[in-house]
Amino acid sequence: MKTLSISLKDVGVKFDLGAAADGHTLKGFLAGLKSRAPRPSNVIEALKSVSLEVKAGERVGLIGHNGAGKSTLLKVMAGIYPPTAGVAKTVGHVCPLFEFATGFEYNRSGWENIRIRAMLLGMRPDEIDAKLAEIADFSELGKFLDYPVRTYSTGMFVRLAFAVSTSVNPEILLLDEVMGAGDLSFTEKANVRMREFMDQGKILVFSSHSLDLLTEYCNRTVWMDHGRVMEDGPTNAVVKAYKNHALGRSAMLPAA
Amino acid sequence: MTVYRKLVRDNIAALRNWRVWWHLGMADVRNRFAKSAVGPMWILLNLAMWVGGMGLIYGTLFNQPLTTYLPFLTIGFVCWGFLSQTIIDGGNAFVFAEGYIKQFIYPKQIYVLRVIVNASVPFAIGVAIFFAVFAWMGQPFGVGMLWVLPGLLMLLLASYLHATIMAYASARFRDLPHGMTALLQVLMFVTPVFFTVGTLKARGLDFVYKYNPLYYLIEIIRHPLTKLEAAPTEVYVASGIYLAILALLAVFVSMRLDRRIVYLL
Repeated sequence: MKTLSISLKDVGVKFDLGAAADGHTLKGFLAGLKSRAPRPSNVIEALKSVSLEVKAGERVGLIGHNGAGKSTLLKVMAGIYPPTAGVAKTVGHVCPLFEFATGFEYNRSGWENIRIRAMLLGMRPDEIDAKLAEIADFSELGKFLDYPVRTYSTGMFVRLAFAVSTSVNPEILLLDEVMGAGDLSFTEKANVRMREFMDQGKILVFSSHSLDLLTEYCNRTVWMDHGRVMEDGPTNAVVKAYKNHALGRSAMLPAA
Repeated sequence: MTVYRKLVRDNIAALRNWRVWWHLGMADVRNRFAKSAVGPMWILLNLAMWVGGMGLIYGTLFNQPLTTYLPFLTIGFVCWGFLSQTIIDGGNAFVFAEGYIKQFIYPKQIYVLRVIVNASVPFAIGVAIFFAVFAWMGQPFGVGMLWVLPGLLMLLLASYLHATIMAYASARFRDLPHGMTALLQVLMFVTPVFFTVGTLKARGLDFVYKYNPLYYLIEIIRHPLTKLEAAPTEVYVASGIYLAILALLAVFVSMRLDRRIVYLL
Protein backbone atom coordinates (compact mmCIF):
# COMPACT_ATOMS: atom_id res chain seq x y z
CA MET A 1 0.00 0.00 0.00
CA LYS A 2 1.26 3.42 -0.89
CA THR A 3 1.96 5.90 1.87
CA LEU A 4 0.32 9.22 1.30
CA SER A 5 2.70 12.13 1.40
CA ILE A 6 3.50 15.58 0.08
CA SER A 7 7.14 16.42 -0.32
CA LEU A 8 8.52 19.75 -1.51
CA LYS A 9 12.25 20.39 -1.84
CA ASP A 10 13.54 23.90 -2.53
CA VAL A 11 10.43 24.65 -4.54
CA GLY A 12 10.32 27.96 -6.36
CA VAL A 13 7.60 29.35 -8.59
CA LYS A 14 8.13 32.33 -10.87
CA PHE A 15 5.39 33.99 -12.85
CA ASP A 16 6.76 35.68 -15.94
CA LEU A 17 4.28 38.49 -16.48
CA GLY A 18 6.41 39.87 -19.29
CA ALA A 19 5.90 36.72 -21.34
CA ALA A 20 2.23 36.81 -20.56
CA ALA A 21 1.97 40.41 -21.70
CA ASP A 22 3.74 40.67 -25.04
CA GLY A 23 5.36 37.29 -25.43
CA HIS A 24 1.97 35.97 -26.40
CA THR A 25 1.85 37.82 -29.64
CA LEU A 26 3.78 36.70 -32.66
CA LYS A 27 4.97 40.27 -33.09
CA GLY A 28 6.40 40.38 -29.59
CA PHE A 29 8.05 37.01 -30.09
CA LEU A 30 9.64 37.99 -33.41
CA ALA A 31 10.80 41.31 -31.97
CA GLY A 32 12.37 39.32 -29.15
CA LEU A 33 14.21 37.13 -31.64
CA LYS A 34 15.54 40.07 -33.60
CA SER A 35 16.84 42.17 -30.78
CA ARG A 36 19.33 40.34 -28.66
CA ALA A 37 18.65 42.60 -25.72
CA PRO A 38 16.85 40.74 -22.93
CA ARG A 39 13.19 41.54 -22.66
CA PRO A 40 12.35 43.80 -19.75
CA SER A 41 11.72 41.21 -17.09
CA ASN A 42 8.58 41.36 -15.06
CA VAL A 43 9.03 38.26 -12.99
CA ILE A 44 7.20 37.65 -9.76
CA GLU A 45 8.59 35.05 -7.42
CA ALA A 46 5.52 33.58 -5.80
CA LEU A 47 7.48 30.91 -3.94
CA LYS A 48 11.14 30.95 -2.95
CA SER A 49 12.90 27.71 -1.98
CA VAL A 50 10.07 26.23 0.02
CA SER A 51 10.79 22.86 1.61
CA LEU A 52 8.00 20.96 3.33
CA GLU A 53 7.20 17.36 4.20
CA VAL A 54 3.62 16.40 4.99
CA LYS A 55 2.92 12.83 6.09
CA ALA A 56 -0.26 10.77 6.29
CA GLY A 57 -2.53 11.86 9.10
CA GLU A 58 -1.20 15.40 9.30
CA ARG A 59 -3.45 18.43 9.24
CA VAL A 60 -1.50 21.44 8.18
CA GLY A 61 -2.69 25.02 8.23
CA LEU A 62 -1.32 27.83 6.07
CA ILE A 63 -1.37 31.42 7.25
CA GLY A 64 0.01 34.62 5.84
CA HIS A 65 -1.05 37.89 4.29
CA ASN A 66 -2.70 38.13 0.90
CA GLY A 67 -0.10 37.44 -1.74
CA ALA A 68 2.15 35.54 0.65
CA GLY A 69 2.06 32.47 -1.61
CA LYS A 70 -0.51 30.30 0.16
CA SER A 71 -2.66 29.65 -2.89
CA THR A 72 0.35 29.07 -5.12
CA LEU A 73 1.75 26.60 -2.60
CA LEU A 74 -1.53 24.66 -2.57
CA LYS A 75 -1.56 24.55 -6.37
CA VAL A 76 1.99 23.22 -6.40
CA MET A 77 0.97 20.52 -3.92
CA ALA A 78 -1.98 19.63 -6.16
CA GLY A 79 0.29 19.28 -9.18
CA ILE A 80 -1.41 22.12 -11.03
CA TYR A 81 1.62 24.42 -10.99
CA PRO A 82 4.80 22.57 -11.87
CA PRO A 83 7.53 24.25 -9.81
CA THR A 84 9.96 26.37 -11.82
CA ALA A 85 12.72 25.35 -9.39
CA GLY A 86 13.13 22.42 -7.03
CA VAL A 87 11.10 19.24 -6.81
CA ALA A 88 7.51 18.65 -5.72
CA LYS A 89 6.06 15.19 -5.24
CA THR A 90 2.58 14.29 -4.05
CA VAL A 91 1.52 10.69 -3.51
CA GLY A 92 -2.22 10.05 -3.24
CA HIS A 93 -5.46 11.12 -4.82
CA VAL A 94 -5.73 14.87 -4.46
CA CYS A 95 -9.03 16.63 -4.03
CA PRO A 96 -8.52 20.34 -4.64
CA LEU A 97 -11.02 22.92 -3.42
CA PHE A 98 -9.64 26.11 -4.83
CA GLU A 99 -11.93 28.28 -6.84
CA PHE A 100 -15.64 28.03 -6.89
CA ALA A 101 -16.19 30.71 -9.48
CA THR A 102 -14.46 29.19 -12.53
CA GLY A 103 -14.58 25.97 -14.46
CA PHE A 104 -18.22 25.94 -15.48
CA GLU A 105 -19.89 25.27 -18.81
CA TYR A 106 -22.05 28.35 -18.84
CA ASN A 107 -24.56 27.26 -21.45
CA ARG A 108 -25.31 23.96 -19.81
CA SER A 109 -27.68 23.10 -17.03
CA GLY A 110 -26.78 22.76 -13.38
CA TRP A 111 -27.23 18.98 -13.65
CA GLU A 112 -24.80 18.80 -16.52
CA ASN A 113 -22.27 20.91 -14.63
CA ILE A 114 -22.56 18.67 -11.58
CA ARG A 115 -21.71 15.72 -13.79
CA ILE A 116 -18.74 17.38 -15.47
CA ARG A 117 -17.32 18.70 -12.22
CA ALA A 118 -17.72 15.36 -10.49
CA MET A 119 -15.95 13.64 -13.37
CA LEU A 120 -13.09 16.10 -13.25
CA LEU A 121 -12.76 15.43 -9.54
CA GLY A 122 -12.28 11.77 -10.37
CA MET A 123 -15.71 10.28 -9.68
CA ARG A 124 -16.88 7.32 -11.74
CA PRO A 125 -20.21 7.60 -13.59
CA ASP A 126 -21.92 5.07 -11.30
CA GLU A 127 -20.70 6.98 -8.24
CA ILE A 128 -22.07 10.17 -9.77
CA ASP A 129 -25.44 8.56 -10.42
CA ALA A 130 -25.53 7.33 -6.85
CA LYS A 131 -24.70 10.73 -5.39
CA LEU A 132 -26.54 12.98 -7.84
CA ALA A 133 -29.72 13.32 -5.82
CA GLU A 134 -27.81 14.03 -2.63
CA ILE A 135 -25.63 16.66 -4.30
CA ALA A 136 -28.67 18.34 -5.84
CA ASP A 137 -30.44 18.26 -2.51
CA PHE A 138 -27.52 19.80 -0.66
CA SER A 139 -27.11 22.59 -3.21
CA GLU A 140 -30.73 23.63 -2.55
CA LEU A 141 -30.87 24.89 -6.12
CA GLY A 142 -34.08 23.01 -6.87
CA LYS A 143 -35.53 23.87 -10.25
CA PHE A 144 -32.59 26.15 -11.03
CA LEU A 145 -30.61 22.99 -11.75
CA ASP A 146 -32.58 22.71 -14.98
CA TYR A 147 -31.43 26.14 -16.11
CA PRO A 148 -28.14 26.96 -17.82
CA VAL A 149 -25.66 28.08 -15.17
CA ARG A 150 -25.04 31.40 -16.93
CA THR A 151 -28.26 32.50 -15.25
CA TYR A 152 -26.79 31.79 -11.79
CA SER A 153 -25.69 34.30 -9.22
CA THR A 154 -22.26 34.04 -7.61
CA GLY A 155 -23.77 32.49 -4.51
CA MET A 156 -25.45 29.82 -6.60
CA PHE A 157 -22.16 28.95 -8.32
CA VAL A 158 -20.56 28.50 -4.93
CA ARG A 159 -23.38 26.27 -3.73
CA LEU A 160 -23.16 24.07 -6.78
CA ALA A 161 -19.38 23.74 -6.77
CA PHE A 162 -19.23 23.24 -3.03
CA ALA A 163 -21.90 20.54 -3.07
CA VAL A 164 -20.04 18.59 -5.75
CA SER A 165 -16.55 19.02 -4.38
CA THR A 166 -17.43 17.92 -0.87
CA SER A 167 -19.15 14.77 -2.11
CA VAL A 168 -15.94 13.02 -3.21
CA ASN A 169 -13.91 10.81 -0.90
CA PRO A 170 -10.66 12.67 -0.56
CA GLU A 171 -7.28 11.17 0.29
CA ILE A 172 -5.40 14.42 0.21
CA LEU A 173 -7.58 17.43 0.70
CA LEU A 174 -6.19 20.80 -0.33
CA LEU A 175 -8.39 23.64 0.64
CA ASP A 176 -8.00 27.30 -0.17
CA GLU A 177 -10.39 29.02 2.14
CA VAL A 178 -9.14 32.40 1.06
CA MET A 179 -10.29 31.78 -2.51
CA GLY A 180 -13.46 29.81 -2.13
CA ALA A 181 -14.69 28.56 1.15
CA GLY A 182 -14.55 32.06 2.59
CA ASP A 183 -17.89 32.61 0.92
CA LEU A 184 -19.17 29.53 2.63
CA SER A 185 -19.70 30.79 6.07
CA PHE A 186 -23.14 31.50 4.62
CA THR A 187 -24.93 28.63 6.24
CA GLU A 188 -24.55 26.47 9.28
CA LYS A 189 -25.26 23.53 7.02
CA ALA A 190 -22.22 24.25 4.88
CA ASN A 191 -20.08 24.51 7.97
CA VAL A 192 -21.21 21.14 9.22
CA ARG A 193 -20.58 19.53 5.87
CA MET A 194 -17.18 21.15 5.59
CA ARG A 195 -16.19 19.75 8.95
CA GLU A 196 -17.32 16.25 8.02
CA PHE A 197 -15.46 16.53 4.78
CA MET A 198 -12.26 17.73 6.40
CA ASP A 199 -12.44 14.86 8.86
CA GLN A 200 -12.36 12.39 5.97
CA GLY A 201 -9.14 13.64 4.40
CA LYS A 202 -6.13 11.56 5.34
CA ILE A 203 -3.98 14.59 4.69
CA LEU A 204 -5.38 18.06 4.99
CA VAL A 205 -3.67 21.28 3.96
CA PHE A 206 -5.83 24.26 4.61
CA SER A 207 -5.20 27.94 4.07
CA SER A 208 -7.23 30.31 6.15
CA HIS A 209 -7.32 33.75 7.66
CA SER A 210 -9.32 32.42 10.56
CA LEU A 211 -6.87 31.65 13.33
CA ASP A 212 -9.65 29.97 15.34
CA LEU A 213 -10.35 27.48 12.55
CA LEU A 214 -6.65 26.72 12.24
CA THR A 215 -6.26 26.14 15.95
CA GLU A 216 -9.26 23.86 15.91
CA TYR A 217 -8.29 21.76 12.88
CA CYS A 218 -4.56 21.78 12.41
CA ASN A 219 -1.91 20.35 14.65
CA ARG A 220 0.73 21.98 12.50
CA THR A 221 0.79 25.36 10.83
CA VAL A 222 3.04 26.97 8.24
CA TRP A 223 3.34 30.73 8.15
CA MET A 224 4.12 32.08 4.70
CA ASP A 225 5.40 35.53 3.90
CA HIS A 226 6.57 36.88 0.51
CA GLY A 227 6.82 33.36 -0.87
CA ARG A 228 8.95 32.01 1.95
CA VAL A 229 8.24 29.81 4.92
CA MET A 230 8.60 32.04 7.99
CA GLU A 231 7.76 29.40 10.57
CA ASP A 232 6.64 25.79 10.51
CA GLY A 233 5.60 24.05 13.70
CA PRO A 234 2.81 23.36 16.18
CA THR A 235 -0.20 25.55 15.43
CA ASN A 236 -0.28 27.32 18.79
CA ALA A 237 3.32 28.45 18.60
CA VAL A 238 3.13 29.55 14.96
CA VAL A 239 -0.17 31.37 15.40
CA LYS A 240 1.31 33.19 18.40
CA ALA A 241 4.40 34.24 16.46
CA TYR A 242 2.21 35.36 13.54
CA LYS A 243 -0.01 37.42 15.85
CA ASN A 244 3.00 39.08 17.47
CA HIS A 245 4.41 39.89 14.06
CA ALA A 246 1.11 41.34 12.85
CA LEU A 247 0.75 43.36 16.06
CA GLY A 248 4.31 44.59 15.80
CA ARG A 249 3.69 45.77 12.28
CA SER A 250 0.52 47.62 13.09
CA ALA A 251 2.17 49.15 16.16
CA MET A 252 4.96 50.48 13.98
CA LEU A 253 2.64 52.00 11.40
CA PRO A 254 1.65 55.20 13.25
CA ALA A 255 5.29 55.97 13.95
CA ALA A 256 6.26 55.63 10.30
CA MET B 1 13.72 12.78 -20.01
CA THR B 2 11.42 13.06 -17.04
CA VAL B 3 9.27 15.47 -19.03
CA TYR B 4 9.03 12.84 -21.75
CA ARG B 5 8.02 10.17 -19.25
CA LYS B 6 5.41 12.46 -17.75
CA LEU B 7 3.99 13.09 -21.22
CA VAL B 8 3.75 9.38 -21.98
CA ARG B 9 2.10 8.81 -18.61
CA ASP B 10 -0.32 11.72 -19.11
CA ASN B 11 -1.30 10.56 -22.59
CA ILE B 12 -2.02 7.04 -21.35
CA ALA B 13 -3.91 8.34 -18.32
CA ALA B 14 -5.95 10.63 -20.58
CA LEU B 15 -6.87 7.77 -22.92
CA ARG B 16 -7.89 5.61 -19.97
CA ASN B 17 -10.19 8.33 -18.69
CA TRP B 18 -12.18 8.08 -21.89
CA ARG B 19 -15.44 8.69 -20.10
CA VAL B 20 -14.42 12.23 -19.20
CA TRP B 21 -13.43 13.43 -22.66
CA TRP B 22 -16.17 11.46 -24.34
CA HIS B 23 -18.70 13.17 -22.11
CA LEU B 24 -17.19 16.64 -22.58
CA GLY B 25 -16.95 16.21 -26.35
CA MET B 26 -20.49 14.91 -26.76
CA ALA B 27 -21.79 17.68 -24.52
CA ASP B 28 -20.03 20.16 -26.85
CA VAL B 29 -21.91 18.71 -29.80
CA ARG B 30 -25.24 18.96 -28.00
CA ASN B 31 -24.39 22.45 -26.89
CA ARG B 32 -23.62 23.54 -30.45
CA PHE B 33 -27.12 22.69 -31.52
CA ALA B 34 -28.91 23.73 -28.35
CA LYS B 35 -32.03 25.80 -29.00
CA SER B 36 -31.69 25.25 -32.74
CA ALA B 37 -34.89 24.01 -34.28
CA VAL B 38 -33.15 21.89 -36.87
CA GLY B 39 -30.45 20.66 -34.46
CA PRO B 40 -27.81 18.22 -35.68
CA MET B 41 -29.70 18.02 -38.97
CA TRP B 42 -27.71 21.15 -39.80
CA ILE B 43 -24.73 18.91 -40.40
CA LEU B 44 -26.74 17.18 -43.10
CA LEU B 45 -28.17 20.40 -44.55
CA ASN B 46 -24.79 22.08 -44.61
CA LEU B 47 -23.26 19.15 -46.43
CA ALA B 48 -26.18 18.88 -48.83
CA MET B 49 -25.91 22.56 -49.76
CA TRP B 50 -22.18 22.43 -50.31
CA VAL B 51 -22.14 19.20 -52.21
CA GLY B 52 -25.24 20.06 -54.19
CA GLY B 53 -24.01 23.50 -55.17
CA MET B 54 -20.36 22.68 -55.72
CA GLY B 55 -21.22 19.36 -57.36
CA LEU B 56 -23.32 20.96 -60.04
CA ILE B 57 -20.94 23.84 -60.75
CA TYR B 58 -17.62 22.02 -60.63
CA GLY B 59 -19.02 18.84 -62.13
CA THR B 60 -20.13 20.82 -65.18
CA LEU B 61 -16.98 22.94 -65.19
CA PHE B 62 -14.68 19.92 -65.28
CA ASN B 63 -17.00 17.70 -67.32
CA GLN B 64 -17.29 15.17 -64.50
CA PRO B 65 -20.09 12.60 -64.55
CA LEU B 66 -22.16 13.34 -61.44
CA THR B 67 -22.54 9.66 -60.61
CA THR B 68 -18.87 9.46 -59.62
CA TYR B 69 -18.20 13.12 -58.90
CA LEU B 70 -20.85 13.63 -56.22
CA PRO B 71 -19.66 10.75 -53.98
CA PHE B 72 -16.05 11.88 -54.53
CA LEU B 73 -16.92 15.43 -53.52
CA THR B 74 -18.98 14.32 -50.50
CA ILE B 75 -16.35 12.16 -48.87
CA GLY B 76 -13.55 14.60 -49.68
CA PHE B 77 -15.48 17.44 -48.13
CA VAL B 78 -16.33 15.41 -45.04
CA CYS B 79 -12.66 14.46 -44.50
CA TRP B 80 -11.61 18.05 -45.05
CA GLY B 81 -14.14 19.22 -42.47
CA PHE B 82 -12.76 16.81 -39.91
CA LEU B 83 -9.15 17.80 -40.57
CA SER B 84 -9.80 21.52 -40.42
CA GLN B 85 -12.13 21.40 -37.42
CA THR B 86 -9.64 19.41 -35.34
CA ILE B 87 -6.82 21.78 -36.29
CA ILE B 88 -8.74 24.97 -35.50
CA ASP B 89 -10.55 23.73 -32.38
CA GLY B 90 -7.33 22.07 -31.25
CA GLY B 91 -5.83 25.54 -31.05
CA ASN B 92 -8.45 26.52 -28.49
CA ALA B 93 -8.38 23.24 -26.56
CA PHE B 94 -6.25 24.52 -23.66
CA VAL B 95 -7.24 28.17 -23.88
CA PHE B 96 -10.94 27.37 -23.46
CA ALA B 97 -10.22 24.84 -20.71
CA GLU B 98 -8.32 27.37 -18.60
CA GLY B 99 -10.86 27.21 -15.78
CA TYR B 100 -10.47 23.45 -15.60
CA ILE B 101 -6.71 23.29 -16.06
CA LYS B 102 -6.15 25.74 -13.21
CA GLN B 103 -8.23 23.86 -10.71
CA PHE B 104 -8.43 20.18 -11.59
CA ILE B 105 -5.55 17.81 -11.94
CA TYR B 106 -6.54 15.74 -14.95
CA PRO B 107 -3.92 15.31 -17.65
CA LYS B 108 -4.39 18.17 -20.12
CA GLN B 109 -4.66 15.73 -23.03
CA ILE B 110 -8.30 15.10 -22.20
CA TYR B 111 -9.07 18.57 -23.58
CA VAL B 112 -7.40 17.62 -26.86
CA LEU B 113 -9.35 14.36 -27.03
CA ARG B 114 -12.52 16.29 -26.33
CA VAL B 115 -11.92 18.25 -29.54
CA ILE B 116 -11.50 15.01 -31.49
CA VAL B 117 -14.79 13.64 -30.12
CA ASN B 118 -16.55 16.88 -30.94
CA ALA B 119 -15.35 16.74 -34.56
CA SER B 120 -15.98 13.01 -34.93
CA VAL B 121 -19.74 13.37 -34.71
CA PRO B 122 -20.17 15.47 -37.88
CA PHE B 123 -17.54 13.25 -39.50
CA ALA B 124 -19.48 10.08 -38.72
CA ILE B 125 -22.71 11.65 -39.96
CA GLY B 126 -20.87 12.79 -43.07
CA VAL B 127 -19.59 9.28 -43.82
CA ALA B 128 -23.13 7.94 -43.46
CA ILE B 129 -24.31 10.58 -45.91
CA PHE B 130 -21.54 9.57 -48.29
CA PHE B 131 -22.91 6.01 -48.31
CA ALA B 132 -26.36 7.35 -49.04
CA VAL B 133 -25.09 9.47 -51.94
CA PHE B 134 -23.01 6.56 -53.20
CA ALA B 135 -26.06 4.28 -53.25
CA TRP B 136 -28.26 6.99 -54.75
CA MET B 137 -25.82 7.45 -57.62
CA GLY B 138 -26.06 3.71 -58.28
CA GLN B 139 -22.42 3.01 -57.47
CA PRO B 140 -21.44 -0.54 -56.53
CA PHE B 141 -20.54 -1.43 -52.93
CA GLY B 142 -17.81 -3.99 -52.20
CA VAL B 143 -15.57 -5.62 -49.63
CA GLY B 144 -12.68 -3.47 -50.82
CA MET B 145 -14.26 -0.60 -48.91
CA LEU B 146 -12.88 -2.16 -45.74
CA TRP B 147 -9.51 -0.71 -46.73
CA VAL B 148 -10.94 2.45 -45.23
CA LEU B 149 -10.22 1.11 -41.72
CA PRO B 150 -6.42 1.55 -41.70
CA GLY B 151 -7.07 4.92 -43.32
CA LEU B 152 -9.43 5.93 -40.54
CA LEU B 153 -6.87 4.97 -37.93
CA MET B 154 -4.21 7.10 -39.63
CA LEU B 155 -6.61 10.03 -40.02
CA LEU B 156 -7.57 9.91 -36.33
CA LEU B 157 -3.94 9.73 -35.26
CA ALA B 158 -3.01 12.62 -37.53
CA SER B 159 -5.84 14.72 -36.12
CA TYR B 160 -4.83 13.95 -32.54
CA LEU B 161 -1.29 15.05 -33.36
CA HIS B 162 -2.51 18.16 -35.22
CA ALA B 163 -4.74 19.12 -32.30
CA THR B 164 -1.99 18.44 -29.75
CA ILE B 165 0.51 20.65 -31.59
CA MET B 166 -2.09 23.38 -32.02
CA ALA B 167 -3.24 23.20 -28.39
CA TYR B 168 0.25 23.67 -26.98
CA ALA B 169 1.53 26.13 -29.55
CA SER B 170 -1.62 28.29 -29.44
CA ALA B 171 -1.42 28.68 -25.67
CA ARG B 172 1.93 30.34 -26.36
CA PHE B 173 1.02 32.14 -29.60
CA ARG B 174 -2.59 33.20 -29.50
CA ASP B 175 -2.52 34.30 -33.14
CA LEU B 176 -2.10 30.74 -34.32
CA PRO B 177 -5.77 29.66 -34.47
CA HIS B 178 -6.62 32.80 -36.44
CA GLY B 179 -3.73 32.24 -38.82
CA MET B 180 -4.65 28.61 -39.33
CA THR B 181 -8.28 29.48 -40.03
CA ALA B 182 -7.16 31.80 -42.82
CA LEU B 183 -4.59 29.33 -44.13
CA LEU B 184 -7.03 26.41 -44.18
CA GLN B 185 -9.54 28.42 -46.21
CA VAL B 186 -6.92 28.78 -48.91
CA LEU B 187 -5.68 25.22 -48.54
CA MET B 188 -9.16 23.87 -49.16
CA PHE B 189 -8.98 25.11 -52.72
CA VAL B 190 -5.49 23.82 -53.41
CA THR B 191 -6.14 20.38 -51.96
CA PRO B 192 -7.96 17.99 -54.27
CA VAL B 193 -11.32 18.22 -52.53
CA PHE B 194 -13.21 19.77 -55.44
CA PHE B 195 -10.76 18.86 -58.18
CA THR B 196 -9.98 15.31 -59.08
CA VAL B 197 -6.37 14.33 -59.48
CA GLY B 198 -7.05 13.67 -63.15
CA THR B 199 -8.24 17.23 -63.70
CA LEU B 200 -5.14 18.66 -62.05
CA LYS B 201 -2.77 16.38 -63.96
CA ALA B 202 -4.34 17.33 -67.26
CA ARG B 203 -3.57 20.98 -66.52
CA GLY B 204 -0.02 20.35 -65.33
CA LEU B 205 -0.88 21.24 -61.73
CA ASP B 206 0.45 18.02 -60.15
CA PHE B 207 2.37 19.95 -57.52
CA VAL B 208 -0.90 21.03 -55.94
CA TYR B 209 -1.45 17.59 -54.46
CA LYS B 210 1.98 15.95 -54.70
CA TYR B 211 3.50 18.00 -51.91
CA ASN B 212 0.31 18.37 -49.92
CA PRO B 213 0.16 16.02 -46.91
CA LEU B 214 -3.53 16.71 -46.37
CA TYR B 215 -4.25 15.27 -49.82
CA TYR B 216 -2.77 11.93 -48.76
CA LEU B 217 -4.75 11.90 -45.50
CA ILE B 218 -7.96 12.41 -47.48
CA GLU B 219 -6.99 9.88 -50.13
CA ILE B 220 -6.49 7.03 -47.61
CA ILE B 221 -10.20 7.37 -46.84
CA ARG B 222 -11.57 8.43 -50.20
CA HIS B 223 -9.82 5.94 -52.44
CA PRO B 224 -11.04 2.75 -50.69
CA LEU B 225 -14.56 4.11 -50.36
CA THR B 226 -14.98 5.25 -53.96
CA LYS B 227 -12.79 2.73 -55.80
CA LEU B 228 -13.38 -0.32 -53.51
CA GLU B 229 -9.66 -1.10 -53.24
CA ALA B 230 -6.61 -0.10 -51.21
CA ALA B 231 -5.15 3.29 -52.07
CA PRO B 232 -1.85 3.22 -54.03
CA THR B 233 1.15 2.29 -51.89
CA GLU B 234 2.74 5.72 -52.23
CA VAL B 235 -0.33 7.28 -50.61
CA TYR B 236 0.18 5.14 -47.50
CA VAL B 237 3.92 5.78 -47.51
CA ALA B 238 3.41 9.55 -47.75
CA SER B 239 0.80 9.47 -44.97
CA GLY B 240 3.13 7.39 -42.80
CA ILE B 241 6.03 9.81 -43.31
CA TYR B 242 3.78 12.75 -42.53
CA LEU B 243 2.54 11.04 -39.35
CA ALA B 244 6.12 10.43 -38.23
CA ILE B 245 7.01 14.09 -38.78
CA LEU B 246 3.87 15.19 -36.92
CA ALA B 247 4.67 12.86 -34.02
CA LEU B 248 8.17 14.30 -33.70
CA LEU B 249 6.82 17.83 -33.83
CA ALA B 250 4.12 17.03 -31.26
CA VAL B 251 6.69 15.54 -28.87
CA PHE B 252 8.96 18.55 -29.37
CA VAL B 253 6.24 21.14 -28.83
CA SER B 254 4.68 19.43 -25.84
CA MET B 255 8.04 18.76 -24.18
CA ARG B 256 8.95 22.40 -24.55
CA LEU B 257 5.66 23.72 -23.26
CA ASP B 258 4.03 21.10 -21.02
CA ARG B 259 5.27 22.54 -17.74
CA ARG B 260 4.60 26.10 -18.85
CA ILE B 261 1.03 25.76 -20.10
CA VAL B 262 -0.64 26.61 -16.81
CA TYR B 263 1.50 29.75 -16.53
CA LEU B 264 0.69 30.81 -20.09
CA LEU B 265 -3.07 30.63 -19.71
